[in-house]
Amino acid sequence: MNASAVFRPRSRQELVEALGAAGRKLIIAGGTDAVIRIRRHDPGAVAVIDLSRAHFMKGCSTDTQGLHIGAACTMTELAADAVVREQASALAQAADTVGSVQIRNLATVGGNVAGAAQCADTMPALIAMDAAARIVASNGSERILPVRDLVLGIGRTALAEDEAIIEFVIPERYLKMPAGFGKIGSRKAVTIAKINGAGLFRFEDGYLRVARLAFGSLGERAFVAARLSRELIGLSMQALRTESTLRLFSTMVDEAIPGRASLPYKRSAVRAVADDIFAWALAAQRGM
Amino acid sequence: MEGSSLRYVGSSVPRLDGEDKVTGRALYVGDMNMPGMLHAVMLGSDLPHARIRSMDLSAARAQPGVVKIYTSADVPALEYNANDWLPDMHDYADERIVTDHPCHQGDRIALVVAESAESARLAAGLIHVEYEALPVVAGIDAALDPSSPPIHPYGNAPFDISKSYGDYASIAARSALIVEDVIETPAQHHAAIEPHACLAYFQDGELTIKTPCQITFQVQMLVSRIIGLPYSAIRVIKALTGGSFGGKSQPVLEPICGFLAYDLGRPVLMTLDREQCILSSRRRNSVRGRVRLALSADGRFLARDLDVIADTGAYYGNGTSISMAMLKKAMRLYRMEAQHYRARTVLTNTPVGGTARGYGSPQIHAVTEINVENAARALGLDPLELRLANIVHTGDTDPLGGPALGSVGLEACLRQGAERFGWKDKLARDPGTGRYRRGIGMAALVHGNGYFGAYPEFSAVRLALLPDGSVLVDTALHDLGCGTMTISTQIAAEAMGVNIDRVRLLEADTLRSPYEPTGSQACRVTYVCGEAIRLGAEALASKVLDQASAVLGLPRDSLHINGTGVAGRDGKELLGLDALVAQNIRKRMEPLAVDYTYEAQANPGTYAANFADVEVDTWTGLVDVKLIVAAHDIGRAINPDFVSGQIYGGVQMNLGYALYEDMGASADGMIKAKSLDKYHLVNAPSMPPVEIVLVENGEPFGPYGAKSIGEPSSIGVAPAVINAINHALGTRLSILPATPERIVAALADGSGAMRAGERR
Repeated sequence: MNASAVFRPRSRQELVEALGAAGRKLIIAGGTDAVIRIRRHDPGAVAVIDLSRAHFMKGCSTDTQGLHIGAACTMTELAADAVVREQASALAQAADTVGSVQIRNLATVGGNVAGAAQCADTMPALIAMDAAARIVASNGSERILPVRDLVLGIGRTALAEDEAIIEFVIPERYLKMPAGFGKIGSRKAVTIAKINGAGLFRFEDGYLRVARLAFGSLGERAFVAARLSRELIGLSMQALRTESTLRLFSTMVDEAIPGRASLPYKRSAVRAVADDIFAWALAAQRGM
Repeated sequence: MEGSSLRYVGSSVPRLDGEDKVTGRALYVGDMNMPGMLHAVMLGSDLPHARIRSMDLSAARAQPGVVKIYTSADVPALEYNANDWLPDMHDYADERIVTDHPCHQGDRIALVVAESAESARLAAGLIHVEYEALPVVAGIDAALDPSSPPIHPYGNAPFDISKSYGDYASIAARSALIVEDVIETPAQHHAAIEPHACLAYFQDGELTIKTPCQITFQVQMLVSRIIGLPYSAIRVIKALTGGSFGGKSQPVLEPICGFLAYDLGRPVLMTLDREQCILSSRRRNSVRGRVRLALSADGRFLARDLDVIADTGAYYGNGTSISMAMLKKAMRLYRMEAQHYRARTVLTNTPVGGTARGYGSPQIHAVTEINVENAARALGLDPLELRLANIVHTGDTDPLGGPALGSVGLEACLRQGAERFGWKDKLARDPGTGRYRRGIGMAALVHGNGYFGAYPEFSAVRLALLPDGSVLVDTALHDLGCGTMTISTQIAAEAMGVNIDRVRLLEADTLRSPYEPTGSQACRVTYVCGEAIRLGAEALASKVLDQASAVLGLPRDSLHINGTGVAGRDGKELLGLDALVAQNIRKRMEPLAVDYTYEAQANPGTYAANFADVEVDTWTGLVDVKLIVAAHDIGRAINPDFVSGQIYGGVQMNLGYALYEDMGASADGMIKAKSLDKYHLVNAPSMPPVEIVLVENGEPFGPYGAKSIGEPSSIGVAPAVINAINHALGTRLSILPATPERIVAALADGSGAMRAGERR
C-alpha cells in the first residue's frame, strides 16, 4: 500500500475535508478487516482516513428519533453499553459474539456494516430493527440510507468513494422490544457465522403480535425474513421453541439458498439459531 | 528406579528460555537482521498442475529494490528428495528449488530477492505467469486410476508393500465375526505459531544457515547435495524454534535460502506467510485405511487385515517411511494370531505430505481404534473390557521381529484412566434422544522411542569441566519448543551431581556438535539423547572423582560431587570443581572432558489410553467435548510440568484432527482452507478439561526410566472422540474430521458410513 495522504479526523468537519482528498480512499477504524484486506490485495495508492481519533463518531444516545449509535463504536462498547443492552439487546448480543475479545476491542460497527461481509454479525440485528445509516459526503451534505439498502452484496455497498457512515439510527418503534440473537459457527467462539440471525418481538397476553426476524450468511447479504416473520404472528409463547415452529425456519432456509451445497446443513442448524433468538426474547419478556 | 534422592529429575524445573520468550527478548530467525541482508519471497503456482509457458518479469524487475528474480532456469537442475536424511539415502528425487512444472497449488515457480521484504512481495505480485494447465490428479481414487496421467515419471502409485505374520485368510474364515471399516484421515497443517523462516550467508568460503529445523546434519547433507559445496563449507546452526510439530523437519527453505545466499554473496532471509506455510511447506499425509478385524464370539482378536493408502501429495518425500511407520504401530498394540498389512503410497496434485507429529500413528490408530470400538459395539461388549482382553503386555515380542516391546504399561493406562474417567458409570448413561446427546469413547495406542531397529540410532555428546567449575555439554540437540534443552540440562546436572546453574547445554551446530544425523525426530530425544547425556555426564563425574581422589589422597569411594565441588562422606566440600580444574592443568592430568557415544539398546513401545466424553448438538453438529482423560505410560516424567504441557498440546492438536482440521483439497486440486479463518484449530474456549494420569513404572533403557511423550500425546484423542460421537448418535462416522456438516449428514442418512466420492 502506498498512502498518498493520511488523515486522522477529530471532527465532522475534518472528516468531510478528508473525504474530499483526491484519488481513492481507504477508511480504517479498527482495522480488523481492512488490514487483512490490504495484505491480501494491495490497494495501491490511497488516501488513508484513520478514524481512531474520531471521538465524535463514538457513543450511543437516545432522542425523539430513536437510538443513535456512533459508527466508530467498538463491539466491546456496544456489548457493554447500558442503553444498547436495554433498548436494542439483540445488537448488544450480536456485538458480543464477534471474533475474539481482542477483535471486539478494535472492530467497529461501522466497519462491520461497510465491510459488507455476508456473515457480519451486527447486520441481522441492525436490519431487523430497521436501522438507518447517516452518511456524510465530501461536500458536507448528508443522506440517510436504510442499512438493508446500504449493503448490496459481498464486499459491495452503496457508499460512494467520498462518503462515510457517521452513525446508525434505530427508530423508536423498534426499541425496548424483547429481542434475541443467535449464531452458529465452526466452533464455540472466535468463529465466523455459518448462520446468524436476530429477532424482535412483541407479545400480548402470551401470544406473539409483532415479529421481525433477519438473517445473515444465507446468501450474499443479510435480509429480513418477512414471510417467516408473518407466519409466526399469533403463535403462543409456549409454541415458539417447539419442533413445528423451528421447522418454519428450515423452510425459510430452503427458500433462501435453494440448491446450495450448504443447504442440508444450514436447514438443520438454523433451528439452533432460532431457538437461541427465542430463548433470549422470552427471557426478556419475562423480565419485563 | 531411583527414589526421592534425585535433585532435578522428576521436578518441574522452569524452562530455561521461558523468561526470554515471555519478555520478547528471544530472537527468532524472522527477527534477525544482518548488514546487507536481502529478503527472499517465493511465488507459488496458482494452478495445482501445469507447465509454465512463460513468465513476464519486466514489471517485477522494475520494482525498486529488486535484486534478482529466479525462475527454474536460474537454479540448480538437480532434483532432490527433502526427506532423505542419511548420506546414502536416495528415495525418489522429484523436487527442485524452483520448478517450471508446478505439481500443486503453491508449488514454487519463482523466487524474488530484494532489499526489503515488502519490495520482494510487491515484485512477486507483479510477475505475470502464463500457465498451460495439465490434468489434475486429486484424491486417492484418481491416483490409483491407471488411466490418470503420471505426475512424475515413476507413476502415481510407486510404493506398494505387504507384510504379514500368520494366515489372516484361514483364521478369518473360521472366526465368529469380521468387523470391517474404511476410515479416512485428513491433510493436517502443523499450524506452528512461527512460520517457516531461514537465514543464510556466504562468507570466507563458508555457507552458514540459521534455521529452526529439526535435523541440522540433514540440512547440511541436502544443501551439499543440491548446491555442490563440500560438507566442510556448510555450517548449519539450529535457531530458536516457535513450534514445528514436524512441519519444519523436512528442509523446505534451507536449500533455497542457502542457494540464494551462495549465489548472491549476501545474507538472505526467507520467510513464508501463513498461506504459504499451508500450501508450500508440508502437511500430514492423509490416509484411507480399510481394516477387517476377525474376532471370536467372546471377543478375542484372532486376525486382522489392513489395507492402507497414504496420499503424499505432489512429491514423494516420506512416501516410504510413512507407510512403514504405520505398519510398526499396527503390530505392537494387540495380541492376535495373524495380521496382514498392505500399504500403498500415492501421489496427487496437492500440497506435499511429510513429517508430522505422531508420524503415521494418528492415521493408523484412527483406522484401528475406531474399528475396535465398532467391534465392541457389534459384539455388545464394553470397549474397555474388549481392549483389556487383547492388549500386549511386558515381555511380548514384536510379531514381525522388530525390537521387543519393553515395559508395557498399557493395562495400567486403561484401568487407571477408566477409573479417573468414570468409564463404567458413564457407559451406563443413556445417550438421550433429544437435541443434545451424550456419548463416550476411548482409544489405546502405541508409539515408539527412536529409530533402534530401523536406522542407525546413536547419540554423541561432548562434555567438559571448565576452569570455573561449570560444565559445558555439546550435543546436536534441537529444542522445538518442547523443553528439550531444559530437561537435558536436568539430566546432565543430575548425572554429574552438580548444581543445575553450573550446566550449560549447546544446541546443534554442525561445525561444533558431534555428528548425529537423526536430530529431533521419532520421539528419540529424551529416550536416546537423554540417555547419552546421562551416561556421558556420569563418565565425566567418574573422571572428576578419580582425579579428586588423586589430588586429595582420599579413597575414591568416599567422595561424591555435591553440586559445586567434591565432598567427603560427611557432605563437607573438600575441593571446589574450579580448584580441581586448576590442579588438573598444573599437574597436566588427563583433560576433564568426555566424548561419549551412546548406541541405543532398545526401542520399547510407549503406551497410552485416551478417553472422551462428548455432548453432540444434533441440530448443529457441534461437538462439545466435556472431558478428556489421557493416561500415559511415560516410564518416568523427567519434568512433570513439561509432560503435562505436551499432553495438553497433544490433546489440542489431535482434537482438531478429530473435529475441525482439514486442508480440504477439492476434486480440482485446489485447497479450500489456506488461512486460519478457514482452517480451524481448537481454540481456548473449545478446549475441554484434560485430566492426566501418568503411569511411571520405569523403562530400563530410558534415562531414569523415561519414555517418549511428545508424539504419544497427539494420537489417541481423535479416535476416542469419534468413538464417543458414534456412541452418542448411534452413527458410524468414518471420515475425519467429524465436521458439523458430516455429523448432520450422518444423522440425516442414518449411517454416517463413508459415501464414495465425498472427499478426495
